[in-house]
Amino acid sequence: MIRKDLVFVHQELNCSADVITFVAEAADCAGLLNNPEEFTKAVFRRETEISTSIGYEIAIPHGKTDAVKEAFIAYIGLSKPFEWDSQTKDLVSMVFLIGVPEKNTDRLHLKAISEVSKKLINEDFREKLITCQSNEEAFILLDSINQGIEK
Amino acid sequence: MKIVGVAACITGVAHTYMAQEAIEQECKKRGYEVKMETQGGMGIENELSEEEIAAADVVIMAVAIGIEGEERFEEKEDSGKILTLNPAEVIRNPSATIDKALSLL
Repeated sequence: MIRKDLVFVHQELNCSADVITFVAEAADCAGLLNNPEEFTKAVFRRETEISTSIGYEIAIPHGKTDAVKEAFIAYIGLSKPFEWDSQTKDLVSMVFLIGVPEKNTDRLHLKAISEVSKKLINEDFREKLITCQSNEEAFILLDSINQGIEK
Repeated sequence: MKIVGVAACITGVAHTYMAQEAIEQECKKRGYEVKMETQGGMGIENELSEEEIAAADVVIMAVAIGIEGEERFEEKEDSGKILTLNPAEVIRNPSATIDKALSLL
């Protein structure tokens, strides 16, 4: 569910659009998208409806669209926090970008995404995540959440 | 103190479950009993029974969409014991959310 190739720390990205484009490319390389452009559009569309910044320096942009082949959650840790949008003016240092197919979503994937989301409410967990020094370390931490999920 | 509620966001992927977690954590911190139903991508989970709703002191609706089984809450609605907020707001301010809910009592 959490994939090694979609976990990134210390990324030097400076605006939400760059983060979204960056993840769309990575997800496309991982073979998770039918149509990266359409996916990017869907995420932007959702973002303009209402900001996905949730406080705690976290944003959870997401797209639910047929452009997604298989549900995924990507993590991007930013080397320097930036203002996520002009609506909230929140500074963001951690981004979780979620892609979900419009129909036929695998339940197990959704469960995994919901478990990660819940974990973000926990301050200790956020602290651990932001101090991860490598993609590998962040991946192991995020992956550990889903070890207990029943198949 | 017994608090129940429903969390449901537009896409039903993340906010729903984060709002659930935020309220549950804050209630546990305060030693309150809590049960949050979720209506999201995985359907209805942790479903509230009529009895559980009746026994609750106050109801928190962290919802951005219409929910299933709204009629279960009619009695609480009539007695003014329901707080309705956007899930994003609940996630941002769990403590203020519970305070606001308690102010209905």
